[in-house]
Amino acid sequence: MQRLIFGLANGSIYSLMALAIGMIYSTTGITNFAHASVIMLGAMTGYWCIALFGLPYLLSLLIAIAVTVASNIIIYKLCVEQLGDLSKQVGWIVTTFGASIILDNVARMVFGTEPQSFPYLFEGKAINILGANIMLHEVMMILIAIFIGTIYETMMQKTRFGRAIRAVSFRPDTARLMGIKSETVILSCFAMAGAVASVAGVLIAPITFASYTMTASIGIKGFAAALIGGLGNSKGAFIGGLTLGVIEAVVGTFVPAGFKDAISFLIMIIVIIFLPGGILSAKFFKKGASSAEKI
Amino acid sequence: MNKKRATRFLAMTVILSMLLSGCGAGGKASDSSEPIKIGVLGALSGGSAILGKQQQQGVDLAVKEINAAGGILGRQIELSYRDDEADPTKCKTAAEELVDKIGVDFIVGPTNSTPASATIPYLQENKIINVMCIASSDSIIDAQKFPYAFRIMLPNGLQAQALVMNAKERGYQKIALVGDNSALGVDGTAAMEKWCNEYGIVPIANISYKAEDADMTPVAQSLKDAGADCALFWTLGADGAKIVKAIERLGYTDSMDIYGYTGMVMPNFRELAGPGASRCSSLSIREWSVEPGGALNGRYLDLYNKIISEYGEYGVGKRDTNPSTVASGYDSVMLLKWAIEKAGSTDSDAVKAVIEKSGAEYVPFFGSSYKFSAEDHDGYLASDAVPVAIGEMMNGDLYIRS
Amino acid sequence: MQNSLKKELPARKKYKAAFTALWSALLVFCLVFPLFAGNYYIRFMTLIFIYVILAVGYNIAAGYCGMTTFSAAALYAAGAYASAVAIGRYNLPFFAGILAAIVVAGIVSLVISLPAFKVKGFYLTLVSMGVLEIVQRILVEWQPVTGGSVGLYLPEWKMLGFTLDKYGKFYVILAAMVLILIFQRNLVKSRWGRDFRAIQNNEVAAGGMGINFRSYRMLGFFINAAISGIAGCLYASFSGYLSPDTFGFNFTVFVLLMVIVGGGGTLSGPVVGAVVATVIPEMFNTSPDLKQIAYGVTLIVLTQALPGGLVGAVKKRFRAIDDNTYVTSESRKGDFDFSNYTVTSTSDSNVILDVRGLTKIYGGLTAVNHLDMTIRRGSVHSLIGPNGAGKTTTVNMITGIDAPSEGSVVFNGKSISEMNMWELARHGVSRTYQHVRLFGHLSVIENVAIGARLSYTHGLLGAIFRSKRMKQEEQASFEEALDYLRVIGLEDKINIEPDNLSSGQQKLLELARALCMKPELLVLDEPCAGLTETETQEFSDLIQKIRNAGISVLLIEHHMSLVMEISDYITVLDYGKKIAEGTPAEVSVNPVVRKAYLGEEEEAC
Repeated sequence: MQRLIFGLANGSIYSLMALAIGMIYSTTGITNFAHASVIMLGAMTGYWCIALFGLPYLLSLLIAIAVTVASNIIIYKLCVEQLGDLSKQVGWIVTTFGASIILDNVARMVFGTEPQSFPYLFEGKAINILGANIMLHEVMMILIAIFIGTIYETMMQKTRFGRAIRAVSFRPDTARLMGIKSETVILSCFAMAGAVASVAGVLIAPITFASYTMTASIGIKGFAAALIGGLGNSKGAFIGGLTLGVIEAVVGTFVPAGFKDAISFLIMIIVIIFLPGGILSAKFFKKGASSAEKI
Repeated sequence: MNKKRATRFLAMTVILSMLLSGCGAGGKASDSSEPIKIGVLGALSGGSAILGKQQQQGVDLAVKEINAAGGILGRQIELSYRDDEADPTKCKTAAEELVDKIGVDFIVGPTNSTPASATIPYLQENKIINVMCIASSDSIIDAQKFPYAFRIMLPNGLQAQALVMNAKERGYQKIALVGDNSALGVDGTAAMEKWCNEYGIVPIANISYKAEDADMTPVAQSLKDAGADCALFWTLGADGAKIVKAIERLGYTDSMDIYGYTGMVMPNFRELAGPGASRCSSLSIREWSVEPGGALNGRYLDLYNKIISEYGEYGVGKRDTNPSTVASGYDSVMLLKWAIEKAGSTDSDAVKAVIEKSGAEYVPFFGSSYKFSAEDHDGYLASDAVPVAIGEMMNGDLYIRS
Repeated sequence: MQNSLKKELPARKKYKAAFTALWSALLVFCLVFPLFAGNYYIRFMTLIFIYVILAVGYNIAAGYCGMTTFSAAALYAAGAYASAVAIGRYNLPFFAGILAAIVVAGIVSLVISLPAFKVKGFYLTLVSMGVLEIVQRILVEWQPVTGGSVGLYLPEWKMLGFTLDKYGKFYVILAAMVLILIFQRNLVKSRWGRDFRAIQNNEVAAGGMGINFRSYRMLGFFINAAISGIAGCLYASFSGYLSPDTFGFNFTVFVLLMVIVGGGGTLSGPVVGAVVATVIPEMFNTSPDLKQIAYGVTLIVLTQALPGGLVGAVKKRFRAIDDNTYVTSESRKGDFDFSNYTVTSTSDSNVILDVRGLTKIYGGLTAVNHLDMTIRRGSVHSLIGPNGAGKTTTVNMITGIDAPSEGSVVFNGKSISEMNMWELARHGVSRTYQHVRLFGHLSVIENVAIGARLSYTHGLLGAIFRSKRMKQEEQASFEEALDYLRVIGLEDKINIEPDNLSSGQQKLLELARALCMKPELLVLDEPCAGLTETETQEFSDLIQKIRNAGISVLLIEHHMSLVMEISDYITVLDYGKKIAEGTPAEVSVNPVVRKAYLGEEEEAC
């Protein structure tokens, strides 16, 4: 049971990552390879605010969000915007990777090399559910992730801005003709992804410890989660993330821990072979939906 | 080939050949007014960056002092740092640059064992002495195979012996071994197994995990399931802390004591590991640990104060390095200085002979005395290591003996 | 035949001469380098040679074939370790090590490309990342064989009884690099290079040309793996020590980077990229922090400043070097003459294509509803109907792009509804597309010449070793292509890229390409969309010529006057159902048809 909750908690972080990745993918068709570094940046900024300047948790979080939103916008401006038509080339792989190198090394130089402890929510209090020792922090991780996902989904379906996003992701040129400034939409998506990154960073930092390498191992899992659920699909991001978290938890119980990642990857590859559009593309979930729907 | 093409061809070849002149070989400086060049190899970026940083702080401090006092044999020391990013290929290339292009006389480092494995054979070919103060794998020190390599750090084998010996003496019945699956962990766990064998102990579990993994609960679970009363950790600090926390989550903290090798210590271990840290101990060089309520003394205290005045107090946003490791970097240079002065030259064979024959005469800043010989290029004995509690550090960065 | 080539190719020959001189000079430079340089630089250069080889391998798959994978380090590792084990553990000679490297790396590539068989793009990226992780895991855990994380030492490098010192290693690896560069060149300049680029540019059209893009991709990736494996083998023997740390994600990105910075899809890109990516960080060795930041900044800036890589940017000024070597605009007319051409067939039945009960259902929508249609050999059969009537869907099913939900399609007596695009091309079906699908990176004449690929008999070895047969077949197809271009009036534009043509010319080019395949059945999907009246008339004349040559034509069009003028028979669709058929005369007076087109008599495009 505890493993399950822990798996779901980890999974909720993967979901947040997948959501942010999906936000950017759906409007630009690329994945931001610097995303894991941005998460780290958010966590480190939060840490400094709390530990060095003694600011309250919430204020630190807001400052972290401001920093990561700004950095994501900068990444967009410097690494993506100039490339032009993104579907025709792979330069973005190199530029976003370059951004991640810069972020990682700047973080190392500014924040130091040693991992630091990061406070849990509710001061790490744990409660007992069905005999398992579960931290409130972990429960909050799951709840916050679901909360953010719900807000995003509602925004997408119900607001004008959400419709604009969907328009741009589906047909950027047509959207432009209809008076939607796809540049602004894309920029907002990058900004939102940055905000989500900070939240994810601050939530996972107590577990991984806050250091410039904290997202090294989980970075790629965010991408994996996004693919399992179907890229660009926000519901899928959650299914994918939680599934991956649970798979890891389950696999971890009977496989030597060194193999955990490799096995998780293997499972992911198998899923993709049979369901290239991600789990949600399976007929079970289709129910007559048009295959043109991306979000 | 017509004339035009021939001329063009020739011109290009000439231009390119001129570039070659910049690629000439470097050479060792033997002129007595020329500086003594020391190269420093270590991980300065990437996941092991703390190691390179610690080594660097120590080396810089020593060289600053030495140069201010007139240098070695009247010659100033010139340092060249190279970041090997803990990558064997890059380390070897960097070593080649230091030796061939820059012409260093000596090398300090590398800080990681696999880059060292890749590089040391090359250094032997070129008769360059290297002093290692952090890399602890047993395979990189061998007086026969690698005659010019020396180390002033507790090697894995000795640490493993110390850990196992300690566990046996304290009478634990169910001893578990824990290590990661990197070169480090594999080497260390193998050493521990060997010494368990020697001491007639059968470990009840041998658990491995992937370094820097976020979720250490499987490790803790395995320990709990095995009912271990003592666990020997060959883990890096952050990973060890995560495991300790996971053990606490499972409510198993009070049932087990943990002893880890030196790599596990980090100044903020207690903070990261939580209350379970009080059951953790590690090893330290005796001289760089304090009795409960005591203090460092003598030259060690002096060096400690120097480190503080040069790099600041330990703390968030301030110095984050471990002073004993910085001291080891410092001592690497000091050892070389002493040996060069005693040999009266920078000739590698002469310096090597001095260290081997008279190493015990040197007064170290890291340990109490080194036991180098023609057969042994490791400076320490198992008795030089003492168990230290790592749940609490004095002044934030000094070990307290347990 | 090739009498006037020398005098009449000034630009291409000039550039070629200049670049040949440049490369020769560089080769000489490399040959004499060890005589001047110190040990450090010799080893540094040798490492660069190995990286060039890696970059070439990756370039072939990613630059030419469009397979951007993230497993470069895994292939490199497979080669390195396989050869290390063969040489170190089993004491096999060095050449066995190379073989082992190729085999093992090849297996890894199949493991990646088989699942990718179905998936591409992002999924290929992720699968390759996953395999990288798994390979690293194997390297670490399989200690008895790989030495685990502690690493593996190799014995001294012996070849043919000689132990190689640093000079030996330098020259051997230099030779290997030169051979592989030659291999790359010969591969790219052959039909294989064209086929790879076609797949990258427009997969569907490539399929329509008879290219089984799935197997081609696997082949391209296998070549990448083999070359990377060789690089790994050379590295293992060169360095004498292997450990899993070297073969991680960062190294994979480094390989990617070399190719992108140098210029993917160019011959010299890998060389330039390898040199730049290794030398520039070197210059920052003295300040490690700055080195990392500079690395990151270079990645960001260089990629954006020079989208085609360094070589791509340079090539823009020397565009003519890519001109084809077989024909020029002034070349003498070859033996092929379209006006005398007649098509041969495997069957002599009157009916060439018989469609029965063809149905396509998407989710809740029935796009094509139980369509019956018969096309007579040698006729022009038009398929018309309002927008959304299902014409393109029908044609896509006939040409293998979509699979029918129900029904059958029989071509020359054989059922083809299960066949995919490339099989159909071999059976004599070719087509043009509603939205032009030309190969952007191939020149105009290459776009047409690629149509002749179905008749080629020379294989990969023939291409690599530039056999006589290969040259003859290429020469013949280019001459034929030139003739088609004369027919459509583009003979003075043979070496430019298709994007520079007007849309009318592009449509004609697509037609020429389809004709070059010598089809029995030619399917044209709205060929006159967007054309002027004059151009439409030209097209009409062409279709007549095509019919006279014995080729059957299935035409989708909205230009009613054109349809009425040249069709022998017309099928009318509305909402996926056939609502009428007959000769033009019959159809034009059919009240059902007129109602369906209510007020839309002369559909202008």
